[in-house]
Amino acid sequence: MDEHATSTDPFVDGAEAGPDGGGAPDLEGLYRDRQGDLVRLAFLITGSYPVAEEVVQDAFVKLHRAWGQAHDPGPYVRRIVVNEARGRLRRQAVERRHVPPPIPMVLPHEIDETWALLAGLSPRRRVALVLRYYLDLSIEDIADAMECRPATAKSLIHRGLASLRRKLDGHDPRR
Amino acid sequence: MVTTHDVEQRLRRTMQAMADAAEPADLWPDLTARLAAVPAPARPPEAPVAPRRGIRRPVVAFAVAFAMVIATLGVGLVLHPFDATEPGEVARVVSRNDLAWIPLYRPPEMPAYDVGFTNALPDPITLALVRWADGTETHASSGIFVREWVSEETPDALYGAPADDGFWENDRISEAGPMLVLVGQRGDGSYFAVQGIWTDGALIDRDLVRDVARAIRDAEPLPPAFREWVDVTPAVSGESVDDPMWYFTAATPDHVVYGTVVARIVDPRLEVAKAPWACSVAAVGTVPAAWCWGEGGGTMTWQIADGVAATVSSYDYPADELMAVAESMVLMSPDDPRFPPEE
Repeated sequence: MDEHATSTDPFVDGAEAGPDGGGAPDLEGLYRDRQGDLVRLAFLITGSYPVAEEVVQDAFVKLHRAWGQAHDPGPYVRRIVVNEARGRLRRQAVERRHVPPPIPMVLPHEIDETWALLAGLSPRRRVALVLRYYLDLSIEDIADAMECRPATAKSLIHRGLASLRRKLDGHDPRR
Repeated sequence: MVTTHDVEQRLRRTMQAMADAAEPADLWPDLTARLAAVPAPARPPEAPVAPRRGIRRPVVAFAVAFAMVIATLGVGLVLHPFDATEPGEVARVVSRNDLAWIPLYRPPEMPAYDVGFTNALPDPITLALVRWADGTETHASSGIFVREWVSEETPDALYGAPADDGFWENDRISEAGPMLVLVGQRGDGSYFAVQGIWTDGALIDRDLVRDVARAIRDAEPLPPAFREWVDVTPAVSGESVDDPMWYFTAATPDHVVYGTVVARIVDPRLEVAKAPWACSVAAVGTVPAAWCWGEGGGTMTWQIADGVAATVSSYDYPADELMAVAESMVLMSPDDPRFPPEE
């Protein structure tokens, strides 16, 4: 199942899993290659593991539908996951407002604190930060995944970092 | 003093720790079961694309969402006739040629309104507008138009400098396929968007998109192709559909609020007639607002259950921004505490 992994970016390439090959075997190969990474990515965005799994399953269903149009399935499905996860995050944010999601594990204080602060960011900033500091994507790739301009992606990262820094510094009255 | 570098390192450690803690299960059997229940994959690009003419062809490819302030409307579109509808019932919007009808659900709380549709030949372009009981009309808006109220980005920030003819142009690869977005600015400063969506790899007439945008901007008659009215019947009737889409607009005359829903439909009756509104009821609780997410990337349907505002969404538009649009609409009422601004 690792035959698709040819890039340091776990979501890039997919040549062997390209649409030309047709049906389920390629999709399955892509799925087995990427599902775990995509779930982790969606989890970091949504903060919910069950939601992350659901997002990824939905994304592959959509990829399946668009199989003939996705010239590069790796980034394509990642983009779907980012969009879907961001949408779920947004909905979750509205639903629970300022209550961060519970973390079902014991974590070091720093991790716990940062995770909670991350949950308080706007969805777009959070997504941008996850793509930047988890996937180590370039600004251009982040912009591509978020379907925005590089300047916008850069701005989101900058503002997200600034917001976190203010809160960690204790200067943010909303903290 | 926490530095940016400190924050970056914290983020890296936190995300890695959280990601490491996640152990994805093998859900391939589950996905296989899901795939068995969905339509077959779209045809590959090299497959012949039949000309899309008339209502027998799936309405899949192309949507135009117009944003205009009510007072500035000048486009001479004609609404389809429609059946009178009791609140809470499914409306029958009858096409001009009486070949088909579009089921619409009219929320009981919504004031009287009529919705018109058209698909223009040669390419299926859907325009939507609302005619109120007092005769005024509201065109469908696009998310981009509303963005100027809620977004940090301007068209410049999104699309760079406008082209020579003044339109900001952007080619995107949406989930549905290649999409062309043109953003124009009218004389009153308001923005509007014309979006073209391809879903089957067919090359659309880009000039037509530009002609439409130009006509809207300059308050000139739309291209003749737009006078040819057909319907979105295939998306509604459940006939062979590759990627049906459906569009409608709902608004209230009491607010400077209007929205467009561009719903991608799997089961049109479920997705359109039931799911969005039913979801709004189910999720309402004590909060007189709700939201629901349809098929398609970024598609969202949202409604205020008490009927004071509208539904807003757009196909393949970033979902969180759509929600921001919807919330901003509510926030336009300064006394409304339901959607406090985020950070």
